[in-house]
Parts: sequence; structure tokens; C-alpha cells
Amino acid sequence: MLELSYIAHGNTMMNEERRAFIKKSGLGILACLGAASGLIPTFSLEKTVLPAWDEKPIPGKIRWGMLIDTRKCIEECDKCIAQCHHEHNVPDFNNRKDEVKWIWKSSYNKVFPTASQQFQSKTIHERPYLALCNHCDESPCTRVCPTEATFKRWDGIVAMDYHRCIGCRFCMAACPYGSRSFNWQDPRTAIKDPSTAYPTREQGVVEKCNFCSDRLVKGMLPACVEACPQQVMTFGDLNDPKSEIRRLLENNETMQRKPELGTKPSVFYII
Amino acid sequence: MNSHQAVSVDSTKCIATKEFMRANHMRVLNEWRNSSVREGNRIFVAPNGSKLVKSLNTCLGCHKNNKLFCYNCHMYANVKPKCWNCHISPMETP
Amino acid sequence: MIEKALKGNRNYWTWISFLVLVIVSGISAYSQQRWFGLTVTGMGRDVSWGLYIAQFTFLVGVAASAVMVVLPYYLHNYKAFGKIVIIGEFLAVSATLMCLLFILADMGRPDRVLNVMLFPSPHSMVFWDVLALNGYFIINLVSGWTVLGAERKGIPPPTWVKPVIYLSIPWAISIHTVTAFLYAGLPGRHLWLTAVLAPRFLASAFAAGTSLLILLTFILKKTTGFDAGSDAREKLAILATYAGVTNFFLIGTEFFTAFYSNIPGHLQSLQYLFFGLHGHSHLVPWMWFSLLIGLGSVLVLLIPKLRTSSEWLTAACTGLVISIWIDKGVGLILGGFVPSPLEDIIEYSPTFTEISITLGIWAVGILLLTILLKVAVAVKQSAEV
Repeated sequence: MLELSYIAHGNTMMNEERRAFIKKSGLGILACLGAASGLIPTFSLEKTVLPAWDEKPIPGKIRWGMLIDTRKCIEECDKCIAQCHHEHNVPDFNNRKDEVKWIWKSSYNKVFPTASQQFQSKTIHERPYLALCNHCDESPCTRVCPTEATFKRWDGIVAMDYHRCIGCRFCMAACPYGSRSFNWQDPRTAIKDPSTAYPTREQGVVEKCNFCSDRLVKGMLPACVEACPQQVMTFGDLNDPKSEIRRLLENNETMQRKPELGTKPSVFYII
Repeated sequence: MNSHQAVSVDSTKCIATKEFMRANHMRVLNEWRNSSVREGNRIFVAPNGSKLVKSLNTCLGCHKNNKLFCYNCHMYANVKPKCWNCHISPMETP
Repeated sequence: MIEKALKGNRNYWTWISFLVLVIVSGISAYSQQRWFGLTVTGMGRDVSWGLYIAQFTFLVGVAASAVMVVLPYYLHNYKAFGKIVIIGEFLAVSATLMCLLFILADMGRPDRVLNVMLFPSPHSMVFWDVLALNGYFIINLVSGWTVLGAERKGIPPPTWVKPVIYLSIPWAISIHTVTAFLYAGLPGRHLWLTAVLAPRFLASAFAAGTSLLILLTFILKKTTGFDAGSDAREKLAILATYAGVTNFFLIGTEFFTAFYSNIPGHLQSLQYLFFGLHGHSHLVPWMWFSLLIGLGSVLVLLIPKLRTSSEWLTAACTGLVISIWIDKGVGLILGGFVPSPLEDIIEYSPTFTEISITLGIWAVGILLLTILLKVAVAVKQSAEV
């Protein structure tokens, strides 16, 4: 059984944990990739590799979480958004009404409206803040879904089953963070730079960030985490006290969005 | 068993017989989807002991030579499944 | 018995034709929506529910209000309601059908509607609402039709109908409570996150539904000569009065908690609706109109001399219905989305397509009501002979 303790903000100097990770999974994955080359189609469909574990996962063992160090985020950069939206075929309709977004940048007073806004420091006030699905531990969206099209996975990710969604948009009403988007029209007309490695969605279903579960299953980090040139995001197992994310949470003052609502988000912010 | 033993590709064998797949591939896909998406159980152990990933791409990985693989049968049987509204069909890939 | 709906005078058939026309135009608009997606409506990422859900919310109340006539008549033998009960039950049937149609119209994937039953999710209020509405539709249709059929034959209704009717009483309360629970448990929507929402829903339902019932009796009297009785109307008017008073009292309590506590989450939506927020005041005229016409109507109803006058009663009932339709639909549903979870203010207006579909569904409901009432009146009028 592989321990998946990711270190996202890889320094140029590889540390011990990262080496161990590569040792454990690298051999396996290389073997998979090599031998499975017969499985991989010559055209660029989603690569099929045997996932890095093959037992049925134990619910609650892993809890994926993300820590965003907002001090490092650059105003003009949107590489994380671009990468996520490209890899997942998120459409761009160029109008606010039909907008679909999985991750975006916003301001302090919008991302943390219930936090104190008075006499806020200029630096903190003017910084960009990333907003995405919080993959809440006690998510209201999964509670209200009438078909369990959105549900909580064994690893804490709040997942979407696009095959089952009836498009009632109850989850959108329930989400206190505005993380969800609906396909008000056919998304395929508005995908700027499509990727054949991941499906699209269709008109009439709700979608949102999936914490890159499609990449996690291949032993990769989420697209936004990897794309960030400043290593703003740390991604890891919140249930593993020895993970990098837990270390950072222990050593820094962090915030969550609207904690008073009891949703227990899995996304944290260093302000 | 080594958890990373890869699957050897043998195009004479599918995950089940041709007759079974013709009649039941929709059920297989449904069951595979529910199992891997909802339970995280992604590994299918075929009767011959080989392990496969429960994914549409497993099928497409083997049936990659014929771009019209899904299309031909569906045209003949006059069924219009909506898979390709979202999933990238073999016909759409370069 | 249904054949009674096929015999009518010129006015009747003109009315039916008009309704069919509206329905056809609604169907055409709906096919646009199915093809292009819900982008043809005014809804968007920030205001993700609009006219359809607003109608649904209002009509669930109307449907529930049948209990106001069923309970006194069947449980307490209040004979004065003898002629009006069937009208109430059929109004409930028609309103419930419209609710279900509005939900279907609002869904992104109505072709998948059976998923709600195939994958039951008891933790979701929508699941219970679907069960409740469908059940209520069947209960009222079956009991109303059966009792009417028995009356036509001049025999007492079968014994099994009684428990079904008794069931409709708590069921009526439950359909509107569960609808309130759809909204009242959402942590991010502070306009809705109040325990008072369910009582407020019931009060406004009883006010609006009873008013509609009174108006229906006037319409029936004028068009068919069938009079449910001024006793029944008077009693209903009193019930509507107290329901109306309760409704506005509860609105008052909402204002108090919001503005006295001064908690932004609590007061911002109300501020947007009634006073405008950060320059956005689209809905302010609507809300004040609703409040004033509603209070005015309740005032009229409180004065016995006016309440007993047909003209004043008609005016007050109409005013109350309009007031509550705006308050529950426009105010409550749209207000819940302003400000958005990220504190943005996006204003919503329905599109022409959306309005067309809405009117089409109203026409379906009214058509069903017309047919059912035509049968009811025919049966009751021949029974009187």
C-alpha cells in the first residue's frame, strides 16, 4: 500500500519525504507506464494506467486538503486558473450569466466576507485570493442533492457524478461559497483550448472543482498546484500528521472561509 | 500479488466474450462507473485473472485501431447513446 | 362524468381556446429552452433560481390552502362549506400540477427526473418534496373525483374515501413545510435561514389560497350561476383575514431581527429588497407595492362592513393574492440570491421565453381547473334540481 504524502511546493532541493515518495511510487508508476504502453492509445486519449493502489479505499483514511499561501500569489498571474480550465475543458462564454469556473481570483472582502474588514492592512486588502470548491467535510451541497449526484468520496473530495445530475441547482443554492457553476448551454461551443485527456460536460448539469481526482488517481498533483510558478498551493493529506500541509498548518496562522457555518472546509489560507 | 503488475494487451480477448459484451457492455460501463466513481474500486479482475482499470479508456485502449468501433454498431442498431456528449469519442481524437 | 366538461356555451369554448393558445406558445418556448439550454432564461451563475421556482413556491402554498375548507367540513362537519370543498380540492389539484410542471421546467435535465426516485436521498428535502407533491396530487384528485361521482349518483361516497380525505389534512401542512425546509436549512442564504420561514409560508399560503378560493366562487357564480354560498365566503374571508394578519406580523418579526441585530448577513437581503443595496434597487418598487397592497387588503378585510361587501371583498382578495405572489415569489426567491455568497449583487429579470413558459404552465393549470370545475358545477347543479 502506497503512502501518498505529496509535497507540492517542491523546492529545487528535494527533501527526504519527496525522495521516499518517488522511491515508492516511481518504480511502480514507471513499470505501469512502460508495460502499459500497449494500453495507451496512439492518439491522446486519457492515459490509462493502473492506479497507484488497487485495494478498495477505506473511507476516511485520507482527507485531501489544500493550503494557499496568499502572500506569494502574484496579481497579474493566472496560470493555475488557465491550467485547470484547460485540462478539464471548462468553457468560457465571456459573459457573467453563463460563466463556468472551477477556480478564480477574488478580493479579501469577497472571499472572507465574515472576517473583519475594518482598518485592514493595505497589503492584505489588495492581494488576490484564490477561490475554489472547499471540499467541505460537512458539505451542505451533498446534503441537499436529491439524487446523490454530488457526494462525498472516501478521500474527502466532494465529487460530481455528471451522469446522474438532474440540473435542479439545489447544490448551487446550498453552497455558501459560490463554488458551483451550471451549464446553462452546451459547453462544447465555448471551450477555447480543448484537451482530449478529460471529458467535457453537457448542457444541464452542475460542475465544479474536483480537486483533480483524475490526476490524483495517476499519482499526480492537482493541475493548479503544479502550474503555479510561486508554489502558492500545498496539497496533501490532512489526516497524516506528518504531511507537509499539516506541518505548514501547525507553523502558520491560517484562515478558512466562513468557518462559522460549520462546513469544515478542506481549503486553508495563509494571509 | 504485485499491485503494479500491468495488463498485457491481447486483442483476441476482451474483458468478456463478444456475445456477452454485445448484449451487456452498457451494464458493464454503468457498473464500472458506479464502482470506480462512487466506491473508488477501480480494479476489475477478469475471469482469466488479469487486472484492468474500470474505465471507458480501457475499452478504447484496446479498440483503438478502429475509430468507428462504437459508431458502426450503434448506427446499425439505431441507438443513440449520449456518452459522446461528454466523453471524447474515438472519432474525435487526432 | 368527464363528459360534462365537453358541453359548454360559446364563452366556455372561447376560454378553452384561449388557454390552449397560451399553452401552445408555452410549449414552443419550452422547446427552445430544451434545445438551447436554460441560458434562454434570465437565470445565471449568481441568481440560479428565478421565475419558475418563484411560481412553484407560491403555488405550493395555494395547494396547501385546501386544508382550510377540508378540515372544517370533514373533520368538524361545518356544513356551510358543503359546496365549496370540491372547489378547494380541485384548486389544490390544479396548483399541485403546476408546481410539478414548474419544477420540471426549471430542471437542467428533466429527462433524468426519475433519478430522484431511482436513487432516493432522504437527506435531501427535494426528495421529500417530490414525494409529498405527487402524493398530494393523487389524494386530492382521487378523493375529490370520488366524492363528486357519488354525489352525481345520489349515493353516499365509499367508506375508503374518508381516511384518504383525513390524510390530506396533515399532508397539506407537510407539503408546504417541506417546501419551506428546502430554503430554511441552507447555511449560505441568510434571507432564508430562519425558523420563521415555515410558519410564514403557511400563513401566506392560507391567506392567498383562501383569497383565491373566494375569487373562484365569484367567478363561478358569474359564469355558471353556481353559488358556493355567502356563508362559506364570509367564513373564508375571516380565515383569510387572520392568515393575512399573521403573515404580515411574521414579516414584521423578520424585519425586527434583521435590523435590530444589525448582522450584515441577516439584513442585507432585506435591505436590497426594500431599500436597495449599494445602488441596486431593481426590486424596491415591487416590494413596497406588495407590502402596501397587502396591508391595505388586510385592513379592508378587518372591517366587517367592507368584508361583507362583494366588491370590497373581491378587491381585497385580489390585492392579497398579488401581494403574496410578489412577496413569496419575487421577494423571497430572488432576494435569497442577493447578495451572492461572494457579496456580489447581480439583478435578475426573466426573459420573454421564460415568461412564455411560465404563462403556458399557468394555462395548463387553469385549463385543468376549468375542466374539473365544469364537471363539479354540472354535478352539483343537477343535484340541486
